[in-house]
Amino acid sequence: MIRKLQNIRKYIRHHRLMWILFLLAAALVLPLVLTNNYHLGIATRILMYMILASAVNVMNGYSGQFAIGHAGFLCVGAYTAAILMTRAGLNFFLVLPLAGMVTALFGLLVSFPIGKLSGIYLGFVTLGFSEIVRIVCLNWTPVTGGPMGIKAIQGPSLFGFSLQSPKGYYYIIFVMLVLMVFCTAKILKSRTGRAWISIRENEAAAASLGIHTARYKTMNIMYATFWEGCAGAFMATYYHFVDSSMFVTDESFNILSMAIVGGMGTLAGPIVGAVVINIITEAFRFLSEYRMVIYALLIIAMMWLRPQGIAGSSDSVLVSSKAGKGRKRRRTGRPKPVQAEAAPIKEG
Amino acid sequence: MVLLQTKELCKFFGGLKAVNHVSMEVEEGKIFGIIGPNGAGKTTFFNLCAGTFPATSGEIWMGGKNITGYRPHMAAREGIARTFQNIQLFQNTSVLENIAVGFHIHTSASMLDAVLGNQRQRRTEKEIYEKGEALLNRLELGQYRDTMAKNLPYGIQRKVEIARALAISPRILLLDEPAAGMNPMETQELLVFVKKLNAEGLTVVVIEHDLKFIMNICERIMVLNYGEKLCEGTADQVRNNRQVQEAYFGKRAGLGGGE
Repeated sequence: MIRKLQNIRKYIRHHRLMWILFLLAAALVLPLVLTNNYHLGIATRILMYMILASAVNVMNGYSGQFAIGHAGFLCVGAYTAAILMTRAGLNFFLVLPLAGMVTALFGLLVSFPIGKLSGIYLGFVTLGFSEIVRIVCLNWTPVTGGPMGIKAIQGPSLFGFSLQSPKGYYYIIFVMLVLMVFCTAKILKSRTGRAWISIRENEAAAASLGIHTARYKTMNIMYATFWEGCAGAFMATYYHFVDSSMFVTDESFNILSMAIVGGMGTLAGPIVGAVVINIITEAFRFLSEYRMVIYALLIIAMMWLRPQGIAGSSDSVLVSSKAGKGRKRRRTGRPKPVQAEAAPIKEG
Repeated sequence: MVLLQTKELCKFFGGLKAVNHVSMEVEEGKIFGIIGPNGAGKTTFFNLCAGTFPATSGEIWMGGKNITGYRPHMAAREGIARTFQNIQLFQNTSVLENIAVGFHIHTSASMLDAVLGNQRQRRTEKEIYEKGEALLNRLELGQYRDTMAKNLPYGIQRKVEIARALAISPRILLLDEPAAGMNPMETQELLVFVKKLNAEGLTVVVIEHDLKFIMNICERIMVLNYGEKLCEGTADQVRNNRQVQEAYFGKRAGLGGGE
């Protein structure tokens, strides 16, 4: 199976542009083919999760800040949008960037404590943040509606035209996703992206080359949370309703597992992951709660067989030494080393 | 002219005096060596100069400017480049990408520029990769440009690390045990390499256990022991210094210590 996947990857890589255009075209005509609104709803949700998983990937996969509590940021974005739209009656397309910016400000706030942390400790702090946000939303009744949530959030409209239809939502989130992936791809190939990757690879070395690591980590968090906030705003207008129970820790892990299953540190990974996870959870809906067992088994199997994710390469950051070794020799046709085998590294 | 200077520099970790009142002056354009037994505080001293740790007391001056308390990224902007005792490459990126990060401080395209793909962005990228390739070719690393850093042989990794440090166009290069773990042939190559860099006008400070290496390339050598400066001088002066001999081989009549 693994060999097959690699062949597919190789094929896709060789015809990259064609594939991207094909997928874009397919995504564009999808609502015209899918007449069933329920299926179109699933497609819309998948696109929304693609944005979320990609944002998670920017933070966890590219700058190596393994945050867990992404639902907290989603929550901030959704509530910000809900409040602005219901109380101030602002248009969705105005609220969208505002919600993103407010969420990015929360990202800035969180970056202060987590800038000094790494690994699992960073994860815990973000998890704590996520829960704090959720509990505040649950209890701050005058502003957030408390346990009742915020109801009757208006749909999006542009220049007087209502876009409040399954197709309208689909195209809105599609444009957001394309914009997000485009910006991310551009940034990752710039000096900013290289700085993020260098921090993931080796923070001390990055600092020794003059990269202000704290600033770049903060920028990374703010960029990722901006998009999470935007996705939250879309969620608010799409469901017409927000409620703190939508942002429980399960949701954080759900988003995180999409990025992991798809393959972190690659642009395609979270997109593939969002499709796979969502389709699996939908396909096994008849099992009701037991589908989570299948979902969990899938993640365990993935970690075992393909730790770098479906779209991840064998030289991915996440490959354990065990998984990487067998394949490395066959794949790399690099120039022959000039020197003989190096002596073992001396300690001290 | 004195380029890098420390004045009574101290670093204490609790009761441990890792670096204790060390004063040093590195002349511009020279190769300066630091030696000492294990645990003498050599690497800690480097870390102080490069801003990795804040000093407990004392001052660091770079090119006539007080840089005490500078963080590593600020020290880099003052022209202090360094390599690490255990090679610290960006393992999962290509050699050229490693080098490209080194040009970070000399470029200024922002995230917005990147998204818009405007002229500044394109010019910056072109410049980075052209300069990066030129640097790799100059150091005879051109053939490895697309190889992932972790797949390189040890000696080449060391060279790439130095090349990356050179990308920030430093005024001084701090090498922390560059020959560690190298076989004699690789060490010899490294020696030629460092000498060549120095001939091009780069000031180098090098920590090394390989005394032949040090004696061969350094004009001045400083010896540290238990965080204190034992002596400083030319290779011959250091070799004949009694205290240095004692630090390395132990006292003549005693039970011996050190290495």
